[in-house]
Amino acid sequence: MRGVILTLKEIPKIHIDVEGILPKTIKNKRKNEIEDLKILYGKEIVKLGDFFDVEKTSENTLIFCGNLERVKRIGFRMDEGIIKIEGNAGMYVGAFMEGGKIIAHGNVGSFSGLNMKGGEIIIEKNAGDYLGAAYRGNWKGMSGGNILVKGNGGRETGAYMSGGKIVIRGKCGTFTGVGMKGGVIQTTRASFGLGASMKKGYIIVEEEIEDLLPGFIYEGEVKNPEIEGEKLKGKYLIYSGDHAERGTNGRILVKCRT
Amino acid sequence: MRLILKNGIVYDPINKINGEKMDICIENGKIVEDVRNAKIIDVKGKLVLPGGIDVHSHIAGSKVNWGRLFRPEDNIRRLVKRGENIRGGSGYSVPTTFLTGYDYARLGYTFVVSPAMPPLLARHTHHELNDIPIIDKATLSLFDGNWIAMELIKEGETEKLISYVAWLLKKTKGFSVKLVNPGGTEAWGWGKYIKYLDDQIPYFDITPRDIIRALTRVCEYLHLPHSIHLHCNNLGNPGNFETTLETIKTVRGIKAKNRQVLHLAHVQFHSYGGDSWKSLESKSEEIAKRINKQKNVTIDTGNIIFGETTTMTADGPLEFHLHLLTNFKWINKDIELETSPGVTPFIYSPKSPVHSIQWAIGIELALLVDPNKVIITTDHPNGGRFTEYPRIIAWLMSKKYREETLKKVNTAAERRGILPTINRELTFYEIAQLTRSNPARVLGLEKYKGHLGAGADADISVYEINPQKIETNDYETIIKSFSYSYLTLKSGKIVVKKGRIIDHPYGKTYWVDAKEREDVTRTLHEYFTKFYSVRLSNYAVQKDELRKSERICVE
Repeated sequence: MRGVILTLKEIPKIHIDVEGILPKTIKNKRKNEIEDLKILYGKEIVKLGDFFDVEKTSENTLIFCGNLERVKRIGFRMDEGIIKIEGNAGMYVGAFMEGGKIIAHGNVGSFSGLNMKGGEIIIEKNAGDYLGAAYRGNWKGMSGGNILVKGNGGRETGAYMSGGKIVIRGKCGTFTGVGMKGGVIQTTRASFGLGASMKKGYIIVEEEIEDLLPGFIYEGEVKNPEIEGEKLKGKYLIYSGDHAERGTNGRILVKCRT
Repeated sequence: MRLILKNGIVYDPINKINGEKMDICIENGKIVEDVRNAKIIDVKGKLVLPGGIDVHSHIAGSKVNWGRLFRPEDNIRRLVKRGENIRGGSGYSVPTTFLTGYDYARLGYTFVVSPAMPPLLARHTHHELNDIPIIDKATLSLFDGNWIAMELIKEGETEKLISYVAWLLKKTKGFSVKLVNPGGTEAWGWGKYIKYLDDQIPYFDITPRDIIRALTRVCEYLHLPHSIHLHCNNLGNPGNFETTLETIKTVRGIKAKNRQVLHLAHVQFHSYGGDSWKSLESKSEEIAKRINKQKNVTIDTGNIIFGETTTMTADGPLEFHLHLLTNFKWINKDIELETSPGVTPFIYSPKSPVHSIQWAIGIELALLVDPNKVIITTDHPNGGRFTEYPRIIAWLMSKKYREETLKKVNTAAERRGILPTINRELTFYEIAQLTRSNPARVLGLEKYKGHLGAGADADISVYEINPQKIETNDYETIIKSFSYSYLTLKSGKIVVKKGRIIDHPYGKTYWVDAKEREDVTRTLHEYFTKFYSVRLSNYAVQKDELRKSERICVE
């Protein structure tokens, strides 16, 4: 079995929706069959071949190339295989994902890893808002899987998440981990509103925290803590919360400078 | 269009037909004795029933729309693509208007009553009802917290009250009077909480009992086709069965010509014993006894189905308490001087002792109450979606299915209910009563709806099940065949064939034109200029705003 390279011909005027173009669906298909797959251009149903050049490759992956800022739902409801994105991607990368792996070499848009259940997303640059968050209106967000962002995260990262892990190497935006009910968010620098109304779960800040909400209470210090089976090095300050919203089991860990 | 449905097995309780092999002739949208040159459809060995009627289902109105707007996560749970004969739509517990019409038609239902319309938002409700395809519909006007009505009750001006009710029904194109927690929402606006029938409503100095009595009498003076439609006080609280019994007693001695004088909605939520959530128990037996004894009362069950749903009612305080219980999101809207609906999501879990007792009570009521007096509903979407009716039918028809479900739910249902001791299994005739003839009688439309005699509207559903061969243990077949009708006819047109929509005509909206005793516009004018945010002239819904209006004149 071999993989496929999909290269965007030119940047479309409006968004293209590639829901259903997954490693599973292109498996064992011929080139012309793949070109005939249906995608959405606005509300029109079009063929994949109209917007993408299809090329076979020996690598066992589905690769998207080009400037994909206006291509949304890459890896939507994916459950197996590997997707690589060479370039910036649009909204909903890996949303409702259940398994497999997505590697994005550029920036990704908002709502990546939305309501994710399993699998892995690696983002080499920055992520948009609502990374690993809950679908609009839902009170249950990401429940499993891992997300790694090597750049910065946007606002409301991990909103309402109940499981899984999000790691952000750069800075994350305001209201990260709002309404959390489980899982782990690890970030280097945090902005205002961290963990607002959280009930359970862990937020780990490695370097700098802008401000802490008044609903959090200082609980003490801990050395080399173990969080969900992973050991951290150094001394951390522990805060519990968000007491302002009936939450007591949420924990924010901030690393001491010295 | 002329049609003959040949050799079907017909159940028609109004005409006392119990599983006879019959031909049904249809001409110009009506059922007739005989017809010539007709197209013949052979439905041999299939179950033929009149079109189903739902007396209590929140399908249109402002609060339904709020439910859709603030639950996008519910919308994405069910997405339906545009098809050959159908429009696309979305929504699991609160489907869009088109899906609502299609889903009801697929179930074999052809008439639905949307039970709560705030008079001020009547225009919205009717435009939304206009949008629902296939089914006929009607909507009930809310009077529970109406300042003008309460003022008139306080002053004892009966003539004026009668005229006001008639005027309001006419102007809002309502079908009858709906009371939701009478006085409760108004008291809540003042920071008070009304639980019992004799609690005072602040400022107006009247009690829920006064409101129920006065408006029941008004309904009888006006000869409305449907009686008062009541959602009792104290909904969902342990020990509330006493309030319910007391409410039933308030209408003792009031008589109507050939229907009930009080219809109690979703009685399952009103049949709880005990004094706390921990000691909650089923009191369905007491309620059923009282209802069977008193001639002028009918009920609908309000069964619950396990799973996630959206609760929405005009009982604002209740929704607020649910929100405190679950901590889920919540909406409340105060509608000036009329009512105050609320919306909040809810999850019925089979593991919860309270929810499993609730489930059992719904089934118990349907089994214990006289089959001439009870109707199946889920109070869609409060207890569950209306698409789950086939499962309720199967629970009623099959003891085996009940036993199997009892094993899966919390043991509280067994310990604090009487469901395991009931051996009764309903027949197809009784199911036809519970879903067809009783609702038609309760709504006062038994001349045109709910039966298959000559002169009735040709609203018919045919199911792929042979009632003479089916065994009650085979509940899966019952659920499967009731879920998708083999044929649904609406006004003589085939709208569903083998569970697929093939045509979507628009149904009528029924409303009541009652006679006013005196001109009330002068009193109302005062009220409107003082308190309302709209003018009296903009309040009324015009007749041509309804897509297909069906006026019912009463003298």
